[in-house]
Amino acid sequence: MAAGRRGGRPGIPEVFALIGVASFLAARFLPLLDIHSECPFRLATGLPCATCGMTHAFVALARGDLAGAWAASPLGAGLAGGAWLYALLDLARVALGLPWPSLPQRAWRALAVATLSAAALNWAWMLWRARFA
Amino acid sequence: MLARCVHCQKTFDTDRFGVQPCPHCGQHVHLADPSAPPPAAAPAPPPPQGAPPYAVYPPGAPGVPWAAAEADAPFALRATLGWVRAYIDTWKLACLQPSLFFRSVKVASPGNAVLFGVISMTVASWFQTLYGALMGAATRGMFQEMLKQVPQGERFQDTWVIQWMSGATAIGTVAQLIAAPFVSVVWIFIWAAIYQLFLLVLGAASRGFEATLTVVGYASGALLIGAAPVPGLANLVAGTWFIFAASIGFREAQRTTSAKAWAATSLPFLAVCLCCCAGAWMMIFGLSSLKVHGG
Repeated sequence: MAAGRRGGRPGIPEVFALIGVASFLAARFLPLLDIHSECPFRLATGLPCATCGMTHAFVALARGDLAGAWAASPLGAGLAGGAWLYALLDLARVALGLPWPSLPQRAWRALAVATLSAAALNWAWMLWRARFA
Repeated sequence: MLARCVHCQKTFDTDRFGVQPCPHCGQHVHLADPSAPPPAAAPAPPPPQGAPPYAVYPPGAPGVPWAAAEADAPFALRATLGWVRAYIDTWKLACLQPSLFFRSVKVASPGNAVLFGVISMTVASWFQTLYGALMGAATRGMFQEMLKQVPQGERFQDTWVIQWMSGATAIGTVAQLIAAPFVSVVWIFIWAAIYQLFLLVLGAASRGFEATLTVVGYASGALLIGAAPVPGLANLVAGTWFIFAASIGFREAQRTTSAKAWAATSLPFLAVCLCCCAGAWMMIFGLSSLKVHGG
């Protein structure tokens, strides 16, 4: 993800920052939890899918309820917090005119492995909790 | 110099590189400039001795003038080609010749690819919204009847799902029309990020996120098929076509193997969309139940 700013124009990092901001605004101000939706995977199997609880986690964290967000989905809470923190940092970077930090390919790969491992652990935890807790 | 059309296979004389119409069949062909700088991460091999200066032939297709050096997609030349012609030519290349197209398309500026994908998805979404509004009552009745046949399907009755599927509210219809381009942008970036995660883990992201974003953007052209007036089936075909185009695109644009490209495309689909598979299974179960009861 080595885009950044080219010739002073917003680049890929800024688009992701805007998506992060939009996700916060949606979670904070839109009545997302009033939309009654059921996860088809949960309906069919009785178990949560890999992304179950994400909406609740985003909404809870946007309202400052850290415990509620963690209970809904640890990955969702981490993703929401990470996305919003990234948005703040990137917008600050743009405001200060700083360059996009250049990470080596190995660092990006380690980050990707860590993210997917976290997602797998999160799902395992959700399944365990639904089955035994 | 002499060039050969990839569509009709006939040769013709030309004095320039880039996208140009074939004098025989009228289709646009893409002659990449071999003097253009090769990609930094994976430089193109030098042309063999005696090869013509305009072409580096793709494997298995001798005589096809599609260079391994990077070239603009026709959509990037829409100012000269015109929007419609540029879109149609790019759609044909990305969806019908993804191997050739993604091998040599420029990945350094993915903005054109994102715009192409957003247009495709937005048009498809608008058509789907239109169909939903036109067939509202009939769709609502059909889905309600189908949900009666699905285990626990009554939980969906009178929910936003039914209202959304049937386009029951005028406000909802307008909201869908307005939100479509924004949702498309978010969809393209989020899915590109998800695919990039898997490509990185598999060690198949040698040309960076721009290449992944370019592939997702241009491959999203396949989602235009969702505009066909065949509810459900059109989206299924569009999604399948997108996965095929994206898989081939990742292989070519990231200069990786077919196995890694297919794995990167399939794994997030299996992991993230498992619930969608369960939903599709429930729908199919419901449809077959309807058929049994109807017959």
